[in-house]
Amino acid sequence: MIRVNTKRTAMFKPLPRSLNPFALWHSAQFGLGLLGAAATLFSSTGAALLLAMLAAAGSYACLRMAQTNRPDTKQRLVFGNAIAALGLLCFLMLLFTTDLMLALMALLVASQLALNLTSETAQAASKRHYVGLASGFAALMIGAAESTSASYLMLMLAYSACVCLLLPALWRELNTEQSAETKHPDSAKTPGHVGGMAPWLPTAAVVGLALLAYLLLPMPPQANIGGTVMPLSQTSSISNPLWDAEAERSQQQPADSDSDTGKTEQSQDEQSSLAPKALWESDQIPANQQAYDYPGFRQQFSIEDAVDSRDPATTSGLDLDAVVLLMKTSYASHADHPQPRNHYVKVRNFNHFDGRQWRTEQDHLQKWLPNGDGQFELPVEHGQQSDQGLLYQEFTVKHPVGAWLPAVDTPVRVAIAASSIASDRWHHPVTAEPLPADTRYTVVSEPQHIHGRSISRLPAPDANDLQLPAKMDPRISKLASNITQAGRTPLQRAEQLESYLRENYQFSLQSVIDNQGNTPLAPFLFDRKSGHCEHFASSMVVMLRSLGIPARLATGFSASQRNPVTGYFELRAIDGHAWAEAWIEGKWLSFEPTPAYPRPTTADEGWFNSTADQLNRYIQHRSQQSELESAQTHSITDTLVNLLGQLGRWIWSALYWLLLAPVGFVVGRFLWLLTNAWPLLFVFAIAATAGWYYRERWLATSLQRWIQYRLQKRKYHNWQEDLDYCHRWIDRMATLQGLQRNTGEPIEHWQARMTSYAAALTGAAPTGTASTDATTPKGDTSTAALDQFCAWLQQRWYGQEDIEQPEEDLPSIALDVVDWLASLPINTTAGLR
Amino acid sequence: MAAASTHPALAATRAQLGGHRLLLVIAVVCFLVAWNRGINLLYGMVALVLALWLASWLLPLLPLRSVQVSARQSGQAHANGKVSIEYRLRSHAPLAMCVIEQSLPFVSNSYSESTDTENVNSETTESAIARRTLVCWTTEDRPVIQVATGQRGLFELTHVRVGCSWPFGLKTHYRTVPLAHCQLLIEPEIVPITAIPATTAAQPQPMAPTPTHSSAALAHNEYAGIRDYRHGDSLRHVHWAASARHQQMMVREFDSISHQDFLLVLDADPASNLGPYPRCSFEHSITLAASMMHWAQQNGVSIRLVCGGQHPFDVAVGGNSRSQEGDYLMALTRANPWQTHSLNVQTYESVIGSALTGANASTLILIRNQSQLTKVDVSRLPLASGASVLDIQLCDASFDQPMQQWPEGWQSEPGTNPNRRILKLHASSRLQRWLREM
Repeated sequence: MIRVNTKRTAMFKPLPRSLNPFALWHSAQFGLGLLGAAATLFSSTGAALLLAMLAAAGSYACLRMAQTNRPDTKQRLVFGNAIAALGLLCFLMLLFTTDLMLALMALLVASQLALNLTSETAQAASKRHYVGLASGFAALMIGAAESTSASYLMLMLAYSACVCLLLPALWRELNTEQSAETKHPDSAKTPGHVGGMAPWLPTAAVVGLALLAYLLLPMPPQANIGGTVMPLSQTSSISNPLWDAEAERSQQQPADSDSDTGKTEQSQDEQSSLAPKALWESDQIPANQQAYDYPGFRQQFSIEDAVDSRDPATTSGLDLDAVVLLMKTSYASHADHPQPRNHYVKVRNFNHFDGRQWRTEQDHLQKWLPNGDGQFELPVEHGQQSDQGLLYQEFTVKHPVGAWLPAVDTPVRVAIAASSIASDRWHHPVTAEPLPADTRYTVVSEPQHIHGRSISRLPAPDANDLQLPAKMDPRISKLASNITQAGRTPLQRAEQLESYLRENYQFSLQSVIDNQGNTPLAPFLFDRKSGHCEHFASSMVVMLRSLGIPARLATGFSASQRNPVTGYFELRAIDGHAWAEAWIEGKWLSFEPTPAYPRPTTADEGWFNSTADQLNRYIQHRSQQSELESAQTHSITDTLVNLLGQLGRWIWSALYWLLLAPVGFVVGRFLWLLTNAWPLLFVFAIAATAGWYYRERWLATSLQRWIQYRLQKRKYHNWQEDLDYCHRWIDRMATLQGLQRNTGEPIEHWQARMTSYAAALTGAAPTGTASTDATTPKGDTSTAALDQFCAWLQQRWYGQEDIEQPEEDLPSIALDVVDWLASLPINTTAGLR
Repeated sequence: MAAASTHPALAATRAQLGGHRLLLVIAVVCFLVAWNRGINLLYGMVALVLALWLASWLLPLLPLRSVQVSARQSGQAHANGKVSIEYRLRSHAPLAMCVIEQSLPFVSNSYSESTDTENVNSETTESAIARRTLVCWTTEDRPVIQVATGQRGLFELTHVRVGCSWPFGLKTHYRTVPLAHCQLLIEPEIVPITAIPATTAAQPQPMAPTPTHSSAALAHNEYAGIRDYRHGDSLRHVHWAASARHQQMMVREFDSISHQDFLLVLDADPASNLGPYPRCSFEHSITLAASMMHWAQQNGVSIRLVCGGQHPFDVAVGGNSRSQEGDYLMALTRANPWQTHSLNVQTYESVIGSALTGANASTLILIRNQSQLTKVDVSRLPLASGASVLDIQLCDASFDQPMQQWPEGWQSEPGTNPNRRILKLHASSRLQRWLREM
């Protein structure tokens, strides 16, 4: 009696009969795919959700109509044609008014609904529904290509769960009419447990396997075959008539770049009057603008104003963990040089320091109009061409940023929805207005590296780059001299300063404010010896200048960690950074004196690292940032959150080191082998293919020799064991002809099959009927050995153990049988496949 | 299910790219797009597709690993009819989205032309494959596969292929499951004839009571007592009172006044077996014999059947015979002509002579080919006095060219024995037309 586990069965009650599972899951997967695409194309998540729900509901209704009105094809054809026509109309309207992707979305929805409606037979409808699967999948792919959020993975997992539930229902639709009635005709019946597995386990297995595969899958660097496509010209959302007019004038009268100094002084006031006011000075500041303000983005920058992230009074609502920008990088061509793992995303340069504040002296803005492609060409200093090719950066603004566009040095081209832009004295792009959230722009840069350091192709230094504060503490100069005593070249001295600061000072976000009138640098350098990036950068710049090396401060973001899920660099508020640039050997080199930040490196990620490796680095990086942010907890909630986060990191570490890292290592080495030893693998593959193709020539002989060797090698001592041993090897030899003995098959049947096979091959006439009479007449001398062997097996089969047979004949008989089998041609259809 | 005609290349592409293979193609395409454009989330799509492919490949193996099946024939089966094979799942866990694929060791009911008349006895039978798709198969279900049968015989099913494509239906794994003790008995085709016409000189008359027995007809039969019921006995002869007394079915037995004994001898000479199997002349004679035996069983007529060949037999029904229907059917099922290369082949004439020895058959029924007429001299057969001969002659050429028109019907040759009736048939003759009341 079969015991049914009602408790487990009750957990998975079937859907109500009013809900057709096939239509439900089919509509759900289509809706989810559409949701993914719409969420990335629409700015409003609610609109995307609404569209997806409407599409899913419409799809379900159409499927049910088709299922219930299946005899009435005429009516459904009319509806389907109407929907298709409407979809085409929407496509054309949207194509000319909005965006191509939106138009395609509308067409996809309409075509899917029309497809669901029009079907002539149940089977035709079922096969068409596989096309519906492709529609949902395509929509999901479009969303994956455009999405910038890691939460899209959740949507993909939900989609896969829907598909896992849909496929069995689809199969049932396809095969219900084919499968005739059983004694319990119930086409909707599904077993609660198949093969001992609960019904939800297949879906869980797929989701689990997908996660595992995703973590172990290597992500090679972007191939970028065919080049990167710059975005099409967009409708200008940022416009300034004054800038536009000025840009037109400057285009008609090209500026003389060699005399920019005099012209700069003359036109500085003029430029300033035309330049936009800084956001924090303007009365047009959005109410919440300062919530996302961060030192370094201001026209002035003061190290006194460094905030304490833990003190709500100073942060004024600032969330250091907030993502300000998303950046995606790609190289224009597959360069021979490795692609850097991290980048400096520069926003501003500052050249004048009065001991407390940095500002830019003699800045001016030059206006530019877009070229024929809708892109802005920026002036670039003459110099060596980039050895790494062009670097494309696609930025997505998540929180409003200032007018200076973050970009990797050295920007040469910008694509942004603006009627005109400007460039400052260091040729950095500036827009007429601050960028609101969801703004997208693209920057093309020519990165260069020397001595492992990035180069900024900026104008040569002037007197401002050697300026020192009037009341600078003399200890600072002395310290700089002491540190760089051993250095002979400016590069060595700069590196010594950099190393000294990294090794002897600690990074801390706690503000260091000295209100007693001394320069803030002195307490940092000589007293507390801890600070954040602005202190380190300022110190290095000041010390370099004291040694006569032109230097300036650069601010922006440190893009050091890419989100492995989305592939975007997440530039958070905490990633705001300041570093030093020094004029050495005729180039502006970047230096990183802050210990918590990685030094510029050209080490690439390599493509043998799995997603798990990248994810592990990402988690460690985020963990370090979290530790910096939360040195002191403020509430029990924060404590609990931190504990949970720590617990999650421990679980991840265990999973990573116990499973993902070893497997990822093996996969990575295998891929390394594929890419580096491919000639050997290619030869091996050809040899294996040829060997398989011509297996009839060598396989039987090889197997025969091997089996003969095994039969001859054995020491026969026990009749029963020896017989079984010989039987096993003869059975293996018989597999070539597909004549292996089936489980439980009587010996005489097996023998009859073999003799019939041989007779058919040798042209012997089989009987007119197919009666498989067990008493097949024997007597063929060529199978005498087979007869003898089968007779012994029969005795063993029927338990007749007392028949005396000379044991020494067994090997020879077995060998004869093997030889006989080897003489038969291989059955490539039933035997060896 | 008729398949629409498609281009061979398209059909081949569909066959190769179906189901799980298409998933691999999609995964490769996604990977290439993700790699070229550096879209990390697309790697997630690749992982999803690969996971689906892997699961659809591995999961069907789980329920198949311990599947056990038994099968048996359901009901009777006759040649040119249908045989039902009933399956039963013996594994404790049900099987979902499965297919039962049975390889049958006999041809289906399709005419196969062969111009190679020399090897008519050596034509190998083609094996058919019957499939049945099930949404769910539990131990309580008894799915049945019905297959058209083109030949008779005793076949043994040694294994069945069970496929499973659970849970996604993209990949079907098969497992060959051994079957224990499953025999298919496909009996010869029985054509419903109504009578074996008499062989008097005037005109053919029914030589036995017709199936629609009348009291007048029964008056010619003498009540001989009661006996226990045998399969095939007419229910009209059931003695209900005796049955109640004996607590089992009892029938009345009659001795017919005009009792006729038939002797039917089949020709198992391989040289007489013309035409491609299973539409050869020997099978035709088997069908004739089975139909006559069945009619005799139904109507209580005594008929004795003798056949040589590889499995010679001598069975009788009706009269005082205690043989049951299954006896002669089994004998006819197993009947085989002699092998071409067999030694000691018994000639048809010798088989007839042996059968007539010691027998008092009133009517001898011969079924032979027209080309073999000279081998048996009817006038020289040791018939009993007054015995008649029903000579059924099969047209040889009709078994090679069945679509042509061939003569058929009763025929009286001048100068022949008036007790001898000749019935000419061909491969496509309808027996009901000629073997009926005249």
